[in-house]
Amino acid sequence: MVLKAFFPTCCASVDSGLLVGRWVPEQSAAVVLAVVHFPFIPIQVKELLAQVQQASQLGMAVLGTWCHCQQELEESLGHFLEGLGTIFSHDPWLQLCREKGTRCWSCKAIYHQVSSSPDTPSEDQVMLIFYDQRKVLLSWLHPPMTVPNCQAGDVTASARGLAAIFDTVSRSKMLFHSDRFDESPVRLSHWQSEGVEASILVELAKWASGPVCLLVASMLSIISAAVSALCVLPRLWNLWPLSFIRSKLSACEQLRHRLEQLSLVFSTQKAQSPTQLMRKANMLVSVLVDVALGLLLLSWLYSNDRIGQLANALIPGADRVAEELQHLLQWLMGAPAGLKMNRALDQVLGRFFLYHIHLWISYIHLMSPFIEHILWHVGLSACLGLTIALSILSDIIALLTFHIYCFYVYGARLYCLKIYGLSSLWRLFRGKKWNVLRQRVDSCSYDLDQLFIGTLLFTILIFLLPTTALYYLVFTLLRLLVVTVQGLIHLLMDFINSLPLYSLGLRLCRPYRLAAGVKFRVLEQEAGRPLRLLMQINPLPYSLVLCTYRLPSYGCHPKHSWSSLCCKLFLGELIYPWRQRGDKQD
Amino acid sequence: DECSCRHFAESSPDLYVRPCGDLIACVWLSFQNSMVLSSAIFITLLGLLGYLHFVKIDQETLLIIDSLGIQMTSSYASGKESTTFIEMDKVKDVIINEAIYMQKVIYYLCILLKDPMEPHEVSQVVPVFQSAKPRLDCLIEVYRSCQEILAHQKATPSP
Repeated sequence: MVLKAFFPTCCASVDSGLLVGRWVPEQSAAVVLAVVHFPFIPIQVKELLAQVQQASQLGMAVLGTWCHCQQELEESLGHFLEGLGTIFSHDPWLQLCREKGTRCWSCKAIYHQVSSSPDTPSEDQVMLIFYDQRKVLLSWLHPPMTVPNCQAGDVTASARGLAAIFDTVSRSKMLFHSDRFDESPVRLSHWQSEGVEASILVELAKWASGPVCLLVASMLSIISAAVSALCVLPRLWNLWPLSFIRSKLSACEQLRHRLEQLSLVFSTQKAQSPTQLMRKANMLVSVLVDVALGLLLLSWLYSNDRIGQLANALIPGADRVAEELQHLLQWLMGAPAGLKMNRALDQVLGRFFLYHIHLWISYIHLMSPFIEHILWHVGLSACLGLTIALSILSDIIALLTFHIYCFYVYGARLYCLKIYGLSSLWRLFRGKKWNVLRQRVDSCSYDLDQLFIGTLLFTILIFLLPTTALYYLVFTLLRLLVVTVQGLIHLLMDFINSLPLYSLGLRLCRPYRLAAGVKFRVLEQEAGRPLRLLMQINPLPYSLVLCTYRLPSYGCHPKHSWSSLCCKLFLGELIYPWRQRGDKQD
Repeated sequence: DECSCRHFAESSPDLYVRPCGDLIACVWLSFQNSMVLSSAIFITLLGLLGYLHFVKIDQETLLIIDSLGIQMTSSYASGKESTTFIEMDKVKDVIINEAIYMQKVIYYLCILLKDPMEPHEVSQVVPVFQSAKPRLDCLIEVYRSCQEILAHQKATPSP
């Protein structure tokens, strides 16, 4: 196998010295991590390597020599470098050489032990692969190929292939702590050799994160305790309405979801793996962006007295809707679309629904003086986030179209009763019966008067079917319209909830952090010189970023398929478009 | 006994500009309203840019490096490049496959992948040069070079 030497690009122009790193025998790859400069004491170099080996659980060694000089290898330097090979014995021993100011590289790998005649060392072809040490150190490979029990202190990294290279660099952080300007006995060159880089803000944030997390976590626990206490008191005497309302109002669900997310972000446990860290970061950024958008909305709403305008437009709007419904009912009570309705049933149903609308209008007019104040105070909750504002909007729509929901329920129940009655009487018409015990249709002999009444009822029901069916159809369509609007709002909320903004931002600004793999570029090749490649990080495509780092939403997706939905509509069963957590049977 | 890498590049046929120009001319003639016209032109431009960035592949490259792996790059008309790298551990073989498509037989080069745990089973087939679709003579050349390198790779197995 060709010997691959991974060489950091930052060390390409440093002075001569020793190559220090890790040898991966399975792939015949030598990963160079740093260059040790002259003068050095071999004992101290070995001590440093032993320390790093203990910290990183990887086999560190001196891999060879690095020579950066004016022209081709000088005689004395050449002998000196070969002498070093005997002090730090490593098999194979690399000799990398570069002429100053040119791009002429030469490298040799000398095997001492693995050859037929132990006197003559055999040489092998070397392939140079340059890598950017800082980027490889900071990047996470997807999918992670290492077995995730590295923190348990396993000696062997079970990473395969190129993931081993990433693993080596990321675990050797201790080697990068000292740089060229330190007073330590061993002078190293690596990506931090111009000085250890750090940011004051990052350090301050790390130092402050501990106490801040504790504070916010305690505040959140107080808030959630208060919320649950609020609900305990009424539970003593009025269990059903409050929990029912809480489960139906999407604003409460959204609030609960956000509280959970915040408590996860500010929990005092440290993140165990990069995935958890990303999830926490995504949640935090999502909450912050949500609150920022909410505040924007708030400032827009409360400027120019828009709340007042909205409140003033609300009552006439509700009136308009009720008027349209009345017109619709008048139309149904006449001859809708040329169909001939049963006059009596038509009038009964029409008057019943008209009375309901009348009640609804008076209720709205009763509320009208308070609408502006209510809207003003409810609009303040937009400061908690845009998703909260959207969920409140969805709830307001649900409340304002409550009468449509009621009409739908009445129409559906009537229609359902009719369908069941018809099906059972149809069986009677044919002389059969539904056997509840055996869950099947059995033949049955009826008395004459049973047959007579049954047939009479069957005829009545079947002639009244078109009227009921028409009312049912109209109100179902209206209800479906409202459900569609609410569904769109919920879709938007879900989108905002689950978008991993931090990961997307990271992919945009620091693409090397999220790596899907590597890519190679062949650098200019000269005859007789070794092959040189540049290894770059292949960033994760945006679609994979979205898939991998999507935040879990509290899943209010419709559970029905289209065919079961149509079936339910046909039979007149009530449809609940989404089930919240803690299903409530109506 | 030189370590080697081979590099193959295939180009796709050019974009047809005339139909787009005809479309824009039709749109201009049929719409007198400037708002509709400008929005239609804007949408067409956006669609064109999207097509150039996501669909139209200008050049496809195959780079095979001894003992490292095989890399496939597609460069789009807008300059975007998408790269896939397959490590040598996972490569079982490179073959030319035949397929019967409607009334003709087409040849395409593909890479057979294997799971390192099960070296005798083919886990995946990855076709190469899907957009350029070179003819059999080009494919045979590429195939021969790849087989040289793979043979060299198999001759010196990993320790």
